[in-house]
Amino acid sequence: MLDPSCGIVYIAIGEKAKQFAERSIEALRRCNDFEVTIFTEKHCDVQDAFQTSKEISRSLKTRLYNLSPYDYTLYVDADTFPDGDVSPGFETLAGGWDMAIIYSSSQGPEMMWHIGKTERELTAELYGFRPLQLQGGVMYFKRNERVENFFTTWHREWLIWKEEDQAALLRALYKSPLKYWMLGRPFNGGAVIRHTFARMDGD
Amino acid sequence: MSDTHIIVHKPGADQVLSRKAGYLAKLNKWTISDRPRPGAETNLFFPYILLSERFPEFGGTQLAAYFTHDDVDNEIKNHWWRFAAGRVDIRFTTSYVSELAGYGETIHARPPVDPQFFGLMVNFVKSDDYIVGVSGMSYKDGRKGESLLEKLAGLQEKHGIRLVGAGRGWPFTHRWYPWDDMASFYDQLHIYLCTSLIEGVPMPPLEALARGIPVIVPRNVGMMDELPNISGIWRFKAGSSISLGYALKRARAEWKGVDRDALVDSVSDYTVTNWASDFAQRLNTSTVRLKSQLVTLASEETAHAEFVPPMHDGKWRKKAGMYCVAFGKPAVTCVKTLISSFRKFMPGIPIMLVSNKKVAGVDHMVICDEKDIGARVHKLSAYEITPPEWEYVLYMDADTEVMEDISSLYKILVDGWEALICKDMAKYHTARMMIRPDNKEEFEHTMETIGCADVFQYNGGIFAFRRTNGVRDLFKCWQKEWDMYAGRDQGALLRALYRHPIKLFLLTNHWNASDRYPTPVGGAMIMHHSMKARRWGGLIYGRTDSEEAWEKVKDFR
Repeated sequence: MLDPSCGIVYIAIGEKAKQFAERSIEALRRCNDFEVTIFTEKHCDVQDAFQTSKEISRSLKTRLYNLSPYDYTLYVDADTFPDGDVSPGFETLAGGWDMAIIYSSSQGPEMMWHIGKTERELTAELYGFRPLQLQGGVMYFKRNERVENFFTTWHREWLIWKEEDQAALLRALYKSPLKYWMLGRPFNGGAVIRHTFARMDGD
Repeated sequence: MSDTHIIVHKPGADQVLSRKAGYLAKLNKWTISDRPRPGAETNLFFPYILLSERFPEFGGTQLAAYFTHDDVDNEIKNHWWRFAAGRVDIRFTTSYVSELAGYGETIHARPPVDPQFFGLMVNFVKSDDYIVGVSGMSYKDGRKGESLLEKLAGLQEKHGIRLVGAGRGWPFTHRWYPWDDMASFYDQLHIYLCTSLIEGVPMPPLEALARGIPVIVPRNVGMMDELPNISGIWRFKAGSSISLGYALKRARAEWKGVDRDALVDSVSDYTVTNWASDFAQRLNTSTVRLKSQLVTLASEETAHAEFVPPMHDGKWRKKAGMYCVAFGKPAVTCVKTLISSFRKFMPGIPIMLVSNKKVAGVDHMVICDEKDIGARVHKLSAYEITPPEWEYVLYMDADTEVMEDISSLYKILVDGWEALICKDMAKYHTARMMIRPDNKEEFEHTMETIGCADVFQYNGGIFAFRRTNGVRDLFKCWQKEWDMYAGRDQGALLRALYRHPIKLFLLTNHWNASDRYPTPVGGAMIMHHSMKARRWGGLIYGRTDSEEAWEKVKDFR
């Protein structure tokens, strides 16, 4: 890509999420001047098909490859506060990596604690071992065949249970190998991007 | 007519590459979009970067690409250039024929000057100011000769000129001209100046010449040397302000006597029709060599197919092996435990050991002298030293021990990942924590290379890889990076990986658990008896292949 466009994408479904997103963007603006796009109910056509704001939000998130207007996208959950310079992730994409993501603080016995029992067990069965748990609340991605394939798989996997997206992300990653660079926790729950993990599914 | 499909970043956009691709689509009646078309006879990537970066695994059709310019100082773009040059069946270029010919069939394409520029302007009366014009956009990497223009901007009075620009980012008066209005920009100039250091053509001097406007162009840049040596085409040494100063003087002295019709004639061959014809003559022939099809049809199908449970039928076992290295008594003692544990849980998988002492129970024994006290030279030779028929290779440090069946490691590779590795232990899982009293310089180098200290740190004690070009290049780079400091290999791995992205699967410490830290919940699949294979205590300052380093381990040799 000659001059890739870089931008940050939020998904904010419901009033509470919108308030969080506004605060997040305010924090973002202190250190970064990247373009921002927010997807709300107005920007999607799935409201009829999905019942809750949480489902709409997850559906949009797992389809971000098709929705994002940028060549290099940083997706951040609305309940994050990007307090630092987020450009290192974009540099990673420019360096040839497909995606940059951050591992979860919940590993070992806490892994997938918030995922339903059946989905959790079947995800573990797919792997056959304890995978490294990733956190999908902050992720950088670029446009190419591998990433497109990954998102297609992620959405398809999410549609099976239509609950949280993390186990689906793990399954998609396993099924759709891509070049992902692992950033440290400061990018998701630390000094660069704080993550409050607030509940936003109520309006 | 062939069924050729053009892939361009932004079809129809007001950008030079979109326009050039558009001419091909229109005149040759080819299809065009931002992605390859699997059913086409030929997919033409415009330019090559789109193949290297966005669709590196696309195949199943004849592949062609347009090669603009080789950005030799940009490691990533240079890598993409070489990747694409080796990957496609046919290369089209305006300026790099001899450079690309070594990769295979390469076609010279004459650049397309848009018809709007051809023809002398009627009223050639110029203003009293001596106007020198520049166009395009400036780049951070300075390849447009930005520093030279910055100098020249401060010397306008000295040279008796006034600089004007079309486009963006110039350090003097400039504005954006719509494409349809670019002829009016050239028409106001006494001279068009190109200061670029690296170019694929460049187009603006050709457009200016088509208007009968004299030009000053750099030598050995793009196809500028192909322009005839006539008055009105003055040259200077690229990047040199002194040489440019002389060219400006000559231009001022000769300007009035320039034959402007001769300038137009000098570019009369560079038409849109000829451009389209140069591509069509090759692609409309039926000679199709499907190099790409041979290597990637399978991957293309896999990418879009429904997920199929992996090939866990055991066939991979015939293509797998384990590689380890042990020098010195402690390491040899450790590796015996490793070998027996591997045999117990992974029967039938061959083992290769490199050591200076024969050890029983291995399938491939390489006896040789050691090169450094940490045996890293041999460890990092894992790609080239292991039998080529081993498609899936697991490397294990001598002081590790297999605790369970670890077939899953090989299966991950079978499933399409190129390599796998575990995170480092405890607090060392972040690169920021890797600094020690003996590695400050290398640590800073590593941070500078990867640009951010808050990244995942890998533990190189256990890793596995599949044979791919990407992995081969990664190992070469890892060796080179390690040799810079000859210390630990983790910093070198980070630097090498950052430069050679691969499909790397990351694992928890279950697969590389240290007995110096609590065992991960669920138990260890591989236990790392950290430090047990070492022959020295404390830190090694400097290289591990130095006399001082050997002195530290002399009692164990």
